[in-house]
Parts: sequence; C-alpha cells; structure tokens
Amino acid sequence: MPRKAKLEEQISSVTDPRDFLRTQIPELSDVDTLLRCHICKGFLKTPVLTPCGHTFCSLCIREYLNRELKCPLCLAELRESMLKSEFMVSELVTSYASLRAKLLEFLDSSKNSRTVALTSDTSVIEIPEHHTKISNDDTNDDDDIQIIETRESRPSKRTSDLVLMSHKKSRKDSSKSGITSLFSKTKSPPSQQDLANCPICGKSYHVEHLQRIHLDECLTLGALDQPEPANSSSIAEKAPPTPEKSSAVVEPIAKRSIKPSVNVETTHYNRYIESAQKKNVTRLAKLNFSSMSLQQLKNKLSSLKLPTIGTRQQMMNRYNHYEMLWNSNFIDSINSVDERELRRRLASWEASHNGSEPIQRTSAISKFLNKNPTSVMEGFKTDRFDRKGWMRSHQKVFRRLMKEAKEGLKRSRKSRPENVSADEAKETYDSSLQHNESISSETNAVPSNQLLTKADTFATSSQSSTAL
Amino acid sequence: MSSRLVKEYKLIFKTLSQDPTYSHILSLSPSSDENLRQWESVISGPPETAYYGHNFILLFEVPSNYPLEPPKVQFQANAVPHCNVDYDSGRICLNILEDAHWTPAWDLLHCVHAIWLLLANPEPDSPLDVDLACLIRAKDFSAHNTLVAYYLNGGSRGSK
Repeated sequence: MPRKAKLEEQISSVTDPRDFLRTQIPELSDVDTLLRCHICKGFLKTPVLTPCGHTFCSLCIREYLNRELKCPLCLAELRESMLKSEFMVSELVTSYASLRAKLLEFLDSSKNSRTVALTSDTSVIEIPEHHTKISNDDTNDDDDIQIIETRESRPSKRTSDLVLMSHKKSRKDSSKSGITSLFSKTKSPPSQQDLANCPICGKSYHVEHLQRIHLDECLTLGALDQPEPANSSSIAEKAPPTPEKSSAVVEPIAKRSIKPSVNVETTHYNRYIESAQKKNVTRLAKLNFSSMSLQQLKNKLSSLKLPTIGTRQQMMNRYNHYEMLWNSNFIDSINSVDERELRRRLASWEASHNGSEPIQRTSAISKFLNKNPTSVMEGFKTDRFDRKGWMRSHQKVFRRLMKEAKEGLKRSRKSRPENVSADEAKETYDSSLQHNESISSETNAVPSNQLLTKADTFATSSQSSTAL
Repeated sequence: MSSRLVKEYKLIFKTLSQDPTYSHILSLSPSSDENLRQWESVISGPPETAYYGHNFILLFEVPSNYPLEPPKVQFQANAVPHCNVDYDSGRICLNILEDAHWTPAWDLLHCVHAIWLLLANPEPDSPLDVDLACLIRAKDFSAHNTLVAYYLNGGSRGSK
C-alpha cells in the first residue's frame, strides 16, 4: 500500500506541457516541451549536448550509451566522450522549472481578460520609460528604478503593473548579481543581502526594518506630500510626485514587489557565470575490463572507495555506474555534489539494479564473518586456526549434519531397489543434491576446511546413487 | 526509471482523450492498478484494410530498465492474421521493438501507433506468417484480404 501511495504521489507530481494550452499563451507549451529530456520525459537535469545537436539529461544519455552507441533521436553514432555540458540550458531549465507554477497560475485564462489587455498595453508604455530612466540615471541602481515605477503606477492598472514589475525584477536582479560576480569574481558577502534600499528615499536599511517600519513611514510621509527625508539621493529626486490617490493603493504594491527581490539568494545567471571557475575534476575513464585481473578491478574500486564485494560482473556494473555518476556530476553538472553523495547514490542504485543471487551468497558469508568475533576468526584460512576449539563449539551443528547426511544416504539407498529406471535414479540424485544444498546453506557457520570431509561424504553418497 | 512510466501513464491518458490523431487507439492503460509494468491496449483496425471494423488487443510487458530497453509487445494470441504477426502466439515482428533499433526517445504510445501502422502496411520481406506474405508478394491482395477477413470472422486455421 505505501508503494501505491508513493505511486500516486509520483503521478500527481507529473507535469504536462499541455497545461499551458488552456492559458493565455498556449505557445508556452512548446517551450515546456523543448525543455524536457527525450529519455526520461522530465525536465532536463544537467543537460548535455551531443555532436548531432540533441540535448539529454546527462545521466539518461550516459546510461543509454552504456548499451548502445547512438543518439536516441537521430541514431547518429555517439560516444560518451563526445558529450558536452550545457550550463546555459541547465540554468534555463532549472530557472524555468521553478517559475512554471507561477507562470501557470498567472496565465490561467480563468482570470479575466482585462489583465491581458492591460499587460500588453502597459508593457508598451512601461518599457521606454524604463529605458530612459536608466540612461538618465548615473548610479545605475536598478532596484531603485524599478520600485519608483511602482509609485507612478496608475491605480487602475495595478495588477498588470505589479506582475510586469515582478518579472522585470527577477530579470534585473539576476543580471545585476551576475555582472557583479563577473567583475568581482567573488560572491557578495552575505551581510549585503540583508540590506536593501528603500524605494522611496533610497537609503539602505536592514530588510526587516525596511519592510516593517521604514516603508510605512516613508510612504506616509509621501502621501502627506511632505518633503522626502533629508539626504535624498539622485534617484529619489527623480521620483515622480506621489499619485493623487490615497496611499493605501500604493502601499501594498510597494510592499509586495519588494519581497521577492530580497529573498532571491543565488540567481541562475549568477551560477552560470560562476561556472567558469569550476574546479577541474578529472574525468573517470572507461575501463577495458577484459584485460583486467580481478585483483586489478578490486584495486580500482577500492581506490575509489567503492565496495569490492560481489561477482566480477557486479563489480564491473558498479564501476560503470559510478563512472557515469562521476562524470555526470563532475564534468557535466554546474553544481557538483561531493563523492560521498555519489557513493550514496551508487548504493541506492545497486539496491534496486545490481542485486542477484551471488550478492546474497556473499552477504551470507559476510554476515557469518560479522557474527563471529574477529579474534576467533583469525587464521580462519590458515593452519594456525584452532580446529579443535571450533569443533567443540560447533559440536551440535556437526552432529546434526552427520545425522542428516546419514539419513539422506539411507533414503537414497532405500529408494534404489524400487526404482530401477534411470529417470528415477536421477531424481534421487537431484533430491540428495538439494538436500546437500539445504544443509550447506544452513551451516554457513562452518568453515570450509572443516566441511571438506562432510562434503566428501555427500559427494560419495550422491555419486553412489547415480552410479547405481 | 519507473518514474518515466509514471509520466507516460499520466500523459497518455490525456493525449488519448484530447488528441484526435490518436483516435484509432481506443485505450492504452496498465492492466491493473497495482502494476505499472503490464499494459493493455485496444486499437481499431485501420480503415481501407481487411482489418477495418475489428478491434485488436495488444499486451505490453515493460522491462525494469525501460526506456533503455524496448517494451515487449504482442497481440492477443490467435487473433491477428497478419504477415508480420505470428498468429498462434501473437508475436509481432517490428524492427523498432527490437533492442538494436529501439531508442528511448519512443514511448508506449509510439509503439501502439507503429503497430497500428504495421497493420495497414504489412512488410512481406520479414514475415512471420508465410502464407499471407506470399500472397502479398504475388500482389494478390484480394486473396490476402479475403484470407484475413476469413480468419477475422472466426475462420478456423486448421491444424498447424
């Protein structure tokens, strides 16, 4: 049942490009479709570009290329080394994906059509205004300019203005921080983030203070047509007179429009620019397993701090998957995680994909090894091992084994005279084999060198049954 | 990768109900609520063929590493006379359903659509039903169509 619940949750989280068809801009469904990976059908996650010009999630395409060396879309030849990371698309997608819900909500055509008309209308007016402002303005402080616009917003159009602003705001914000980072090449100290300029008087205040106390004060002053606070900056001078309407209209707009700008932490643009300083991690190479001894393979795995349990095939799978995770993370991804996280992901992948009976056998042995204190197990494989002590401590098990073995032998003998046909003889052989197996699985607790004699008796007993 | 199936599950339902280009696919859904790996589809016979007017059931088994591996698809056994379909088992000979030709860019809907197209465009050069393929190769389409219609309408195939 929890699995089903999880499934339902998964289903409800699936997004559909056609969601946009019922909005005011149905063409957006095209954008939505384009930003998805053709393999997983989800939004591109650390996209990579193929030489044939197609883009896939890094992990999706690498996993596929482990099986087939061609592009899933155009079937052109393709190898993992040909993949190129696409930071720009990566940031576009993440940025878009985080905006998607908001976009949908805003564009939902259930809202009245008036907003549309107004949006288009104001955008025509608004943009030139904005440009002239920038050119006039020497301080080049975008945040201030924008908020001043709020103040001149005509109350009748406030919904559209507001949205327009928030859009511009996010764009402005990112470009601003991106440019700063480009020049300074350092992240701005966190303390600066807590400061924000008042849109009315232009002074900078602590965010909390600005939002709670100062804005109200400033606006009240403005509404009362009182002079601005003493040291008004050049921007503040350019601020148009407060609208004739009551300040109550302006106030919520100013407040609401400020919030997002303050809360933005790292913008995608910023991250994109900073990707230039990504430290270089070497690509993990593909291995030619056929020319490798088991020991070499194990050494390779342990040098990467990976487990060396399992069959050769499993170790190969493990390396291949890790190589994929590694390259996708350190080569393609714009913000990499560390190796520990990679190993965690590898482990969760193995749990569902790389398990088979051999691993169970190994786990039985390791369980057994873990169960017994290391002091006892010391010299387990050598002559120094304390056999007598081992015999004594496991006397019960050995007795039971011997009894079962004798019974098995008796049974196979008994069945011999009645069943003459070869088929039947084979059957008893099989059953005694099965019996043998069940015993050996029960007695994993017996070291192999001790079991040897037992196994011999089994072998002779089963051989005798076939021979007869 | 099962998240991919989940996505398809949700989108296919929408596509089928909205997109008229897929009107020949009458249904495509998991066989039960519990298991997303078994799917079932019903398609209608393409118009202007001997299959028109009949509905056909497709059975899907989706491997665990889908979409890297193609889904296993077959018709219901003993129901589809077609030169690329093994009548007795329902096995389909279609290159995109083979490992070598499959690409993960395709989804279940593509498969169903491709099979529907195969119904209308038999390919006698890789036949699973030699009798029908021979008739097509001899360009004796009326015989082919009659034979198909005969089977579809409950004609017995004899002992084979």
